Amino acid sequence: MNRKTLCIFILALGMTYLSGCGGSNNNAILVNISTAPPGILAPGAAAVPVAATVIGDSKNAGVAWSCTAATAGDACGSFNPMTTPSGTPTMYSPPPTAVGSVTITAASVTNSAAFATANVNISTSGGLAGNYSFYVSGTDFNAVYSLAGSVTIAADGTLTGEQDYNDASGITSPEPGGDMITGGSLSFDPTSGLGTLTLITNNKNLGANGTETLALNFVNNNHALIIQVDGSATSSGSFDLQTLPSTPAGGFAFAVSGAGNTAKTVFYGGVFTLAGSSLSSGIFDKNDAGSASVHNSFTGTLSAADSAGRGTLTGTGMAGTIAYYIVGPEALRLIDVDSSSTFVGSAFGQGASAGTFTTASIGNSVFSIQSNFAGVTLYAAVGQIVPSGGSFNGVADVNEDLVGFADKQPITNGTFSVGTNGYGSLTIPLGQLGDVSALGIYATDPTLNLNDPNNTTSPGAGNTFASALVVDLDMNAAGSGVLVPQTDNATASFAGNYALGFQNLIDDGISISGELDFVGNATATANAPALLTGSGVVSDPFLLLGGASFLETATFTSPITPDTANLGRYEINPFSVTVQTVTTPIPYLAVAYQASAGQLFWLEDGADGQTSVFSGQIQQQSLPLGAAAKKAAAKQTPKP
Amino acid sequence: MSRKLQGLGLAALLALALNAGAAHAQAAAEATKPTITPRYDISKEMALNATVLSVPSKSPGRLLQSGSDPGFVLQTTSGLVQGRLTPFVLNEKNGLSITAGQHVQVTGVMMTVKNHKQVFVIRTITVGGRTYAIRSERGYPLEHPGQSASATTASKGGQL
Repeated sequence: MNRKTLCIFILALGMTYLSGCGGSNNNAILVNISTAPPGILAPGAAAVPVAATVIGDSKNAGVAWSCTAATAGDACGSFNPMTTPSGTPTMYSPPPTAVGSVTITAASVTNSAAFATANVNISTSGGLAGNYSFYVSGTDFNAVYSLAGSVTIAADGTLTGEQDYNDASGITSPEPGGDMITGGSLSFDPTSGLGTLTLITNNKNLGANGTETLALNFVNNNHALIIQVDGSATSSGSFDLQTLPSTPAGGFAFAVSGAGNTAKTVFYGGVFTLAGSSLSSGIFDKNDAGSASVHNSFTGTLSAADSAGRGTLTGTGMAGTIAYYIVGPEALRLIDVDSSSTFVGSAFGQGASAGTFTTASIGNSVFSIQSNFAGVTLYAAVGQIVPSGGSFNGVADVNEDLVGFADKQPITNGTFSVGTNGYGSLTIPLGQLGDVSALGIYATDPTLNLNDPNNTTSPGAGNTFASALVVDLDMNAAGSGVLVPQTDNATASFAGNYALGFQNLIDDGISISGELDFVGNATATANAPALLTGSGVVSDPFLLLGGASFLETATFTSPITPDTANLGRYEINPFSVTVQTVTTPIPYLAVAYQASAGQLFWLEDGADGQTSVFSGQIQQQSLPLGAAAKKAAAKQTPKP
Repeated sequence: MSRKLQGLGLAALLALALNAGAAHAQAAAEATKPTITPRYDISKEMALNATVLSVPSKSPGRLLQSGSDPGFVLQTTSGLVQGRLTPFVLNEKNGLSITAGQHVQVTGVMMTVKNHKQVFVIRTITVGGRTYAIRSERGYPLEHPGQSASATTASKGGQL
């Protein structure tokens, strides 16, 4: 008997004694729930055992089972059988609908005043509740598109929210309010984190007659990688718990990716300061289809956020109206909601470092950059750098679809600078990394995890080196990404359970073009044989793989080969992905760079000969997730 | 494992040789004009009069069957040319209607892409008496070719 159960037992004993004092004929009876239900059950899920023991019942009559839902009149489920001998389980079947909290009561048959209770949450959302923001960037059947929004998940799993969708090619959510999310659901497997988010919107142009479906894989209960999978579009992004209300203030850095009002690829990045409704001291860089324009000053006006954390930013010169969604006081998602242009991305706070950044703010780091589908070259580049003063050396990989690739390229005599406001640049000498050379970098709060903004432990409060958002300002390579501190490049650290995803841009220059996206989970083993073994789902609305559906399951078991000359770099070769209804596995090769045990970035190795480029993230999971995590918090509460 | 650079390395080295300075100078408000060789070099543009022999199909499974679809093939007086459109040209919305047998005029640049394939990267296409810009002058795809104004940029190259 654990401590909690012991306490419950003692409390039940006391209550039963008091009850007995009130005139019970059997004041020595004690009831204890010995097998509790899970903390969370999905509606209509399979029956689960629950059991109770009765002590001091001279008649040995056993236990009578009953339940009540939090809301009077709601179904609470059923028991089979309704009474059991002491210690013998009954099977509890949850109700068919998500009713939230249900109290299960085990009472002595001999004396119903002696009882114990346990709570179970009947929820479609795996027990997760609260406000979550999401954003994705990808390709629909018209163009590059952006989607950002916020959902509120109630304790019973019901879901409402608001969002903005924009492809600037005929599908733009009506403004100023965007789309309403009138319903939907979140469900997932707590053992893997893989699940589905369904959003029912009031915009029939989106998804399947207004219903968008996204697949996600939770990294932890506050964060998931997410892709759109309903066949109307495909994209990758992030799903994160919101801290509401929050008032963003102070220094921020930002970067966004999209297609501008010239209908060509466009990227913006820079810094600004927020104080109330005023945006000041803004500086942005822009890469408009290979035409870079840097150090543009801007100001703006921030409207107050609504209850979902959505507000607007106007007057910036980058777009007519940018909607923002609060993740927390130092993390915002930004989306251009004009019908003539689109972009989406993030702004992150600079915290106490605002105004004090220097070149020394950037330490050993991993960077990852990617174009979008409207690029002249579809490309990805990932690498790691070791700064020394304002210069750096390192190693990186680049894959430029149709152009070529360069693996494990030494980077020497690179240079960078960072102003006190966090605005800076980083230059990889021409010729060392393909077309990737001139990068704008925009430093953020060293304590922030840019890919999991709610993560307070990695890098955590003790970290001193800044992360940065990145925009590629090259003529032949327009893209965006991140640069994050490399805090652990030990091979042994790349082990455990990971959520992972990638965005795969494809164009063979002749007849094949489109995007597919993957999200899933995997186990990495550090010891020989080092393997990355996992599964997930592929969104393939362009049917590039020739599967039976635009949504396929996929599996892989791939060797991980550490690059002993460049600790932190791994070759995943082959990364052969078996897709459910596709005969031939996709013969990818991949390379990963490790920023820490919890965070790696990977890209498709161009040596695989595919006319495609993918890049994405590998993030260590905190298991168990959702319901399983909540199970430990389930309570048995005896009542008098 | 070291792998040989393909065209990327050569192109980048050429760019290095031609480059006179860094492309990005953030300390100054004025952008430094990069001197990198553009991937799409408009100075090498030429115009082709051609008949469309085939347009890309939309059959599934294309990634794993690369090469099975002939794509956008043009018949010119000098022979067959593999044309490269953009991912957005044939979109149902905002795209163009191009069918086999049509006469077209295209301007673009002949380029060698991955796997040593020679393709004619098309920037403008005249079809049905209207000229559409499908790429910017740096070769970036335009998402709305069907909405673009008639292109008037004169070809700076010769004709095949």
